[in-house]
Amino acid sequence: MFAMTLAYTIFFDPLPIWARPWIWPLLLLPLCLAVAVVYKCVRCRDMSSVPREATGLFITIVLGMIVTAAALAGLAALMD
Amino acid sequence: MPETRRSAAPLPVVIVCAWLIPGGGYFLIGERTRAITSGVAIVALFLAGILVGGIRIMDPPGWGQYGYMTQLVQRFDRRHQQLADDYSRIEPSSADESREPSDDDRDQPAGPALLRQPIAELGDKPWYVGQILCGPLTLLASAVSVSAAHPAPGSGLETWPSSHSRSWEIGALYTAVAGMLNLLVIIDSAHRAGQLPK
Repeated sequence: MFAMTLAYTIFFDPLPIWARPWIWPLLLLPLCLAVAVVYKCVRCRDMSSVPREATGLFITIVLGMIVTAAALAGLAALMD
Repeated sequence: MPETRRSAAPLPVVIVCAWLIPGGGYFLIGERTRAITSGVAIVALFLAGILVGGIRIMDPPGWGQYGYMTQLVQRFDRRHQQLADDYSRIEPSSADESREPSDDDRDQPAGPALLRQPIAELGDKPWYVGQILCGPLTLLASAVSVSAAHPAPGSGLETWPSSHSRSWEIGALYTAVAGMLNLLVIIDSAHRAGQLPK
């Protein structure tokens, strides 16, 4: 892993995070943030309300994903 | 913060500018805060995709694993001693193979697959439809990716191998979603430009 990190070239090699599986779910956050910001840029008439509105939408999306994941995990556990 | 400065740029110019530079359409109609916020978010998401998956997640239709244009070859039917109605896709691994994609002299090169069967090529890589909506940034990244895919001298292997599994999926997802978000911004800036007083 250390040797791989030394040989890492940013933007050319994939991010060396495969040895840390807890990082994968966190990669949901930048995606949700970008979707929330751009969507609220389009929807809000006044740009001063975008930070507050985008934060609310970001939290809603992330909570929705967590609830959906928990529900699917529960369903999978029931079916086993 | 209300947007005050507005200009009535022609609608086609707004649409083209919005595709060329994410957020550029808003900028043309005077909505600079909206332009910078949406543009930075889209470009950041696109770059984050390349950061996670590596440059090789840019996989343009018509180019093969080694960064040369996929070629079609019309096969020679030995039984009937004539060219068959059978085309094979060849992914060249060198410039020489790109010029002469078949070992058999009787086979007939039919040209790049992208020009002969563009829909089939695009169907093989549908995520590129989302990615290309990010504009010239995608074309630039694709050119770098194709160049990085060429085999290193002497090794025969790609200079920068493409990532696999989750790295590739998440990188492709980020860049495709960035393109789809830019489509949303293009449509909205065109709508706003259409509502401005002439």
